[in-house]
Amino acid sequence: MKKESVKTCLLVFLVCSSIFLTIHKWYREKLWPDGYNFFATIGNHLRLTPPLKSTLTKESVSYPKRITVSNIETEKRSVYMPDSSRATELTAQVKEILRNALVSDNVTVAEDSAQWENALQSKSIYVEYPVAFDTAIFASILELELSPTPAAKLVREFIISGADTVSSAVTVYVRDAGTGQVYVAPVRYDKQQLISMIDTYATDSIGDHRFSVELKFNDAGGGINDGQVQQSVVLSPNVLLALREQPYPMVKETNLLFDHEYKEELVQNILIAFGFNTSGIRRYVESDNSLVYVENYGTIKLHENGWMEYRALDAEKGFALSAESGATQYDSFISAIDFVNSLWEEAVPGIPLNLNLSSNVTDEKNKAFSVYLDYSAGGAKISDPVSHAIEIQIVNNRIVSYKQKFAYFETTDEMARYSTAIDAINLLLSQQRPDVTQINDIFMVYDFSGSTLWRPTWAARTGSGEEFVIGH
Amino acid sequence: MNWEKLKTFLIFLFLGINIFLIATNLHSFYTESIISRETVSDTVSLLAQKGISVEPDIIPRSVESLENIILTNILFENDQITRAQTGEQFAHPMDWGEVTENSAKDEAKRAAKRMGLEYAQAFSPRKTEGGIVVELGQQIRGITVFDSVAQAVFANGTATLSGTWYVPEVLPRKASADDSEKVYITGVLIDFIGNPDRAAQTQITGIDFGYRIPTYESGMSHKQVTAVPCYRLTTADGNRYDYNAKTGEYIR
Repeated sequence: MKKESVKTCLLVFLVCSSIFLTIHKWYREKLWPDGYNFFATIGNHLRLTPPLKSTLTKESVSYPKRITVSNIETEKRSVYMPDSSRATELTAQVKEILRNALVSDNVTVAEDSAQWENALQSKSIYVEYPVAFDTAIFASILELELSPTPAAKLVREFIISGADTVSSAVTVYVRDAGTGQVYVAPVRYDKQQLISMIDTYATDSIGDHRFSVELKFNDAGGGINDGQVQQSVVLSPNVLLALREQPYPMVKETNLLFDHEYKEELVQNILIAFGFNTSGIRRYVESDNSLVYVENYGTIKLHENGWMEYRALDAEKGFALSAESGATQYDSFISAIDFVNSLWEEAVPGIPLNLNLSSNVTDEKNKAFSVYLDYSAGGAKISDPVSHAIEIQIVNNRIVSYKQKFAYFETTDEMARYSTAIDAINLLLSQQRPDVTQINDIFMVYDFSGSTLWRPTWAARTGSGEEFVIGH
Repeated sequence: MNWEKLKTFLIFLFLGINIFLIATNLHSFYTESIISRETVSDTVSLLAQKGISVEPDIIPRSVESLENIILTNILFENDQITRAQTGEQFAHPMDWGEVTENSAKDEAKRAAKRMGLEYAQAFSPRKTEGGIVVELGQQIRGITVFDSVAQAVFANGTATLSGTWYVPEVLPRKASADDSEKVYITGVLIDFIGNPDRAAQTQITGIDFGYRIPTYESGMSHKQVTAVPCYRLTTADGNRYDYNAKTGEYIR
């Protein structure tokens, strides 16, 4: 029996040894097709990370920042944000009308600015996008198949008006964001349907939100004490002013990249997302404790404050956004948005991504352009005066520079009261900024309050497109 | 069924399988890892045609696949060490006893150890006007770190150590199967033909294997760096040419 036990043990050992040697040879000589990894495929199928929730996707780029539906006859006005549940149907209808406007055959130039102002104050839908788009790119974003015949080269704001009681046509006013010129585009759309839509969606008191023109803030001598005080700054007539005080939550920032030490898994995921070969990569630690990873074609630098920077050694070696040749700027732009989302999903799975577009999307003939994005929380942008949260430089469909702050912003239970838009205007006027003469928008942002907290505060955008914090 | 006979049969069967697998694994290892004499000879001939002479005996026929290693600059590891005025170098004086030319090597190693310069090797002691000078190099598990270079000067009861030195975070170890990229020296020698920095007619007098820190200029001092395994070709005119042993890249 002892002999049999030894034979059994010997047999078991030889079987195990054979299996081990076979696996060793199989793994060493990689006896599977190039690029195929059985184990990675199984791993991918078994992955249980939740799907990414991002506010900026290829689809959401086409959503307006804000839709204001006004019914002067009933003195009703309502404001809709894209994430509002009631806005879904409204947004779909509005996009349909805008598509028609872009290919309108009878576009004319508005006689004067009064047409735009009158349209705002009538039975209308005022549509605002967060940034200006080159019209051809905007058409692609709206999935417009026909070539647009744009009169306006750069678009951001539209007014859909059903106020013309003589004509049965629906009129869309388009303002060129570059020149300020207003174009009038009659569109084929059921006017009764438009009127019905306005009646349905304009439900709140008009006193809650007023356009600057209605309060005469667009006139240097008309706004304060009926012309007795000259305004040093005028507001564009379509600046929408929230007149009711509303509490906003404080926002807390969490550094996702560094917490006493760099988060190794996140770092590895970032390197992989940019195509870096993590085995054998060269790493340097600078005297300020920033980490630098160097590959043949680029570097990635990580900072303790959560910033990540990628730089290609030259434009031709940048990170390719897509394999397609002949990619248009629209293709590159959308691919960049997709890359931002996939990088986030790979790096910090399970954490929602709330992003706003912060740079105009213009047509750069030399295929070199920038995309700037900012985080948002509680419906307002996180405003960092030093840098946008994400800054991407693209040349010929390749990312040559990418900078992102890996942080998450979430609302807290602590509420902060802030003044109304009128108080914000008074504060702006009292600040006496000689370089600011025209304001195109006043809106809420989050400003750094110290430690990890951000506070809601008023900000403004000038006629030249610059943004600054007014205060609270 | 006669289980005993079946077991015996299976034992011999698997024994044969094991012998076969061991033999094929060893054969693969040998043919992958060792350069044949014929390849070396062909390489030498090709180099000669291009104006480069090298003795076949100095060409290593096999080297290990090593992982990159992380090194910490001694200045950040030991804040007692005096930084030199330039770059990432140190210049640190210490009180020291009398030193002769015969005892200089041992004294230099002792001084290096006191300063925390790990794995120091001392060589080339010589007497100069400024004192007795000993060169210090670093070898970790027999592998030279080319960028750890220092000098010990003994004079007037003082030992002054100066140079650049790195401390390994992890000791050199063999690369895993995932990271077993390796370029053979013969490939590097062929690449050397096209090296823009070499003289038209040159003689390779030495081929060494060690670790080298690829240059990364950031305007900041590097606290930690990555050192890659590399081949160092030394020519008769005293120049050195380093090539990454994993990728074949010429490291300036």
